[in-house]
Amino acid sequence: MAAEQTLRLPLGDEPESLDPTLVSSLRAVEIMRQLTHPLVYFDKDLNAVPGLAESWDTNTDGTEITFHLREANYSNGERIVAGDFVYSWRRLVDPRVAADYAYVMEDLAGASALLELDPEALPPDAEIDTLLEDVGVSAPDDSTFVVQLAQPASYFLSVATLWVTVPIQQAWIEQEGATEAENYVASGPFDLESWEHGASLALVRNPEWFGDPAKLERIEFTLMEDEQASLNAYLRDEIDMVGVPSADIARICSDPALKDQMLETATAGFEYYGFDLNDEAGFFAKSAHLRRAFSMAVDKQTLVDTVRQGAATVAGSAVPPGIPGHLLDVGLPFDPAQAQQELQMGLTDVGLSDPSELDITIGYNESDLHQQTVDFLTEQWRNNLGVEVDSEGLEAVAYSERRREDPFDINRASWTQDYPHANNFLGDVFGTGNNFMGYSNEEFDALMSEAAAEADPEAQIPLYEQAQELMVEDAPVIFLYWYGGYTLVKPHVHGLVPTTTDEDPGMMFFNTVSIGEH
Amino acid sequence: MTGYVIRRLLWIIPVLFAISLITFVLMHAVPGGPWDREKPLPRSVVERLNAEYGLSDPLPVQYLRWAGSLLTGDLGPSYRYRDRTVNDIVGDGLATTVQLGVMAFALAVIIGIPLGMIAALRHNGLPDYAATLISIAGIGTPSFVLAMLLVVVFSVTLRWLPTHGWEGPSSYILPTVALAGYPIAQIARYTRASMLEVTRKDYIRTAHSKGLRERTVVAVHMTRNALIPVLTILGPILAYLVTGSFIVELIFSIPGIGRYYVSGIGERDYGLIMAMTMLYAVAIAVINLVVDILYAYVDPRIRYS
Repeated sequence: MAAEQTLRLPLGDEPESLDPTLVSSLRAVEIMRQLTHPLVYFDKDLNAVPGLAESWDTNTDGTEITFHLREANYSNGERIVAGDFVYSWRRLVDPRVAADYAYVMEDLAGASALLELDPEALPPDAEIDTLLEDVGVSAPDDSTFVVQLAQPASYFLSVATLWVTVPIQQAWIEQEGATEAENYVASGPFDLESWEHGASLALVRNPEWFGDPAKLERIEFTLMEDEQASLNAYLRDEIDMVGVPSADIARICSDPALKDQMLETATAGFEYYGFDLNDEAGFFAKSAHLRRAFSMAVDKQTLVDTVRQGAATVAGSAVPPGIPGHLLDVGLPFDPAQAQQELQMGLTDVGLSDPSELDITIGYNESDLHQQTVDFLTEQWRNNLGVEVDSEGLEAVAYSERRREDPFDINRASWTQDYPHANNFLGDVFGTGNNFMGYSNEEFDALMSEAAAEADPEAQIPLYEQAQELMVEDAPVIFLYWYGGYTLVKPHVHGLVPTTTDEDPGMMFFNTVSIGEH
Repeated sequence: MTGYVIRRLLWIIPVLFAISLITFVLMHAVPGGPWDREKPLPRSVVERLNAEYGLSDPLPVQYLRWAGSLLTGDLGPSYRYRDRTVNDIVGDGLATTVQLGVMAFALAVIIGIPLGMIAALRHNGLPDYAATLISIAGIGTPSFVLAMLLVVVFSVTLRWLPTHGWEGPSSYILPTVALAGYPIAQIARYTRASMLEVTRKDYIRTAHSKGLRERTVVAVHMTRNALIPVLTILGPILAYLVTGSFIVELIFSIPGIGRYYVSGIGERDYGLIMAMTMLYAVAIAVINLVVDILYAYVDPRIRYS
C-alpha cells in the first residue's frame, strides 16, 4: 500500500450542484454516490441490499414499505433520523424546488397531486404545504420511515437507491452556501473537503460513516473537459483513470505498455433511433412493416465494429445484460431479404408502389460519432432497401427541443439507467406518455402495471419478457447497441469493482479501492 | 482632454445597451432552452423550471428584469449551476483569466514587436524570412493545435511541465505560450509592415543624411512612428486576451471564465451568456478608449479637445 491513499480522477464537467435533490448529470451523480447514502444500496451484482435502512417490510398488497433505519451519523456527527427522509422526499416533489428527478416519485401516495399542479399557476404556499403534508411519508420514530404508495410498485425499492432519495438535514440545506465544502453535511463514505469551482473537487474519508471506513483517504477530481487533454494527463501520471476516446482505442490496444491498463466497461444504457409515431398520417405511424424493414436492414454488428471500434454490444431490445428481464435472443435480426419483404408490405400499408416515393428524414444531434452512425444507417437503407433517406444534424440543445416538439421521421436518442430495474428500461421509456416517439400500446402498459403489482421479483420477469417481445415486434425504435467503453486504469489502483451503473468504473464502491506502491 | 474622456465614457452607455439588446434577442431566437438535454426532462418539470426562472414571461419583461438587476450589480441566476449566481461564477474565475491574459499579452508584445522590427530591418534577408515563417505559422496554427503540441512535447514526452492546472509558475508556462502564439504572429506582422513603411519616409532619409548613427535612427525616429499603427491592434488583442480563451482554458483545465463563453451558449445558460458578452463589450470599450488616449501621447499630430 502506498503511503498516500489518494485516487486522482478527471471530472468531465463541473457538477451543476451538490444538492442531492437537484442534481441529474452523470458527473454530479458520481460525486453524490460518494457523499451520500440511500436507504437501499447494491451489492456488486446490483442486488438490493441494506443501506441506511437495516431492513424493511412491505405490507401484503405492496402499498406500504416500512424502513428500519440503522444507527448512523452524518459527517457533522449528528444522527441520521427518519425525519430527514421525510423532509428530503417532500422536498423532491415540492413544485417550488422544481427537481429534475421528481418524476421518480410518481408512485408515492399524494405525490401526483403535487407533480400535476399547473406549473404556471401554483397555488399559494399554504396550499402546497398542505399537499406536502399529505404525501405518503412519515416518521413514527427516529429510526422508522414509512412510505405509502398510491399503487403497488414492486420496483420501488430500486427507486429508494437513487441519490435523490437520500436523507437531508433541513437545517443544513436551508443555510446559505450549504453545498460549499465548509458547510457540507455528508451521509456517505466520503465528505466534501474542497470544491474549487471550475477547477477541482476533493473528497476525504468520512470518519462518521457507519460502514467499514473507506480505504482511500482522498479522492481528487480535476475538471478536465477535453478528453485528449485528460489522456495526456493520464500519460504523465497526473491522474489514475481516464476514459479512452473512441478514436484512440485501436492505437492504445496495440501499445504494449498501455494495453494491459485497458479495462473494458459496460454501461446500462442503449443507443436507439426512434420513429415518429405522433402524426397518424406519417409513414411510420401507419405501418409497423415499414418500421421493421428499416430495423432489419441495418447490420448493427458492423456498425459496432467500425464506428464504435467494438466499444459496445449489439442490442435487440431495451433491458441490458445484467438487469433481470434481459433477453438473450430477442430483437429483429439483420436480414436484408426479410427487410425487403417487410418493405413491400409496408409500401402497401402506406399506399405507395416504389421505395423511392418514401420521403424520410433522419435527425440527430451533431457529433462525429452520430454523423458517422447516420452515414452508416443511410447507406444501409440505400443498399438494402433502395430508399434514399435525407439526414439533418442539429446542434445538441436545438435538437433536443426539436425532438420534443416536432420530431423527425427517425430520431437519434439514448437512454441510460436511473435505477437498475427492468421498469426503468421499459415502462419509463416505452410506456404511454413517457416517450417522444408517441408510442403507446395498451397491452404493454397493462403488462407494466401487472409487473409493478407483482411482489415476487422472480414472477415479474416473465411479464417484462413478454412486454419486451411485444414492443420489439411493434418496433417503435431501432435498437442499435448497449453502451460500452474502455478506461485506462493505472496498475496501482487496486480493488476496483465496476458495475453497469458507473460513470467512472468502480464508482459505486470507491470505498473499497486502495492505492498500491508506485 | 477631460471633456473628451467624459464624452467617450458616456458614449459607452448606449453602446452597451445596444449590445445587450441584440445579444438578448439573438440568444432567445436560438432554438432550445436551458432545460433541453440529451435525456429529456418530463414536460411538467420543464414548465415548472420555466415558471421558476421567469422564462415563461414575455421577452421584453425578461429583458427589463435582467437590465434592472444589472443596474444593482446583480447578473442574475445561472440556469445550469443551480445553486450559484452568475456573480459567483464570474467572481471566481475573472482574476485567473485576467492574469493569464495579461501574461500572454506581455509575452506577445515582448516577442512580437522585436520580431517584426528585425524582419523589417533585415528586409528580404534571412532574419526576415525566418520571422515571416514564424508569424505565418503562428497565424495558421489554431491555439488548440499549438496547445496540444506543447503538451505532447513538454509534458508527456519530456515531462518538464504539468499537462494541466493553474497552481504556480510551472503550470503557467504552457497556457501562456499557447495563448500568445497567435497575437505574437499578429503583432510581428503589423510591426514589420509598419516599420517598412516608415523606412521609406523622407524624415528617415533626412536622419540618415544628417549622419546619425543607425541605432539612433531606429530607436528615435523609426520605432516611435512605426508603433502607432501597432498600438491600434494592441487594444483589441488585450481585450480579447483578458476576457479569456475558451480553448486554452479548456485544454489546460484553467479555472477561468473563458470557457463559459462557449459552454454558456451550448447550455443556453442565458444569464452567463449575457454576463460574458457584457464583460467583453466593456473590456473592448474601455481598452479602446485607453488606446485612443495613448495616441495623444505617442503621436504629436493627435490632440483631443
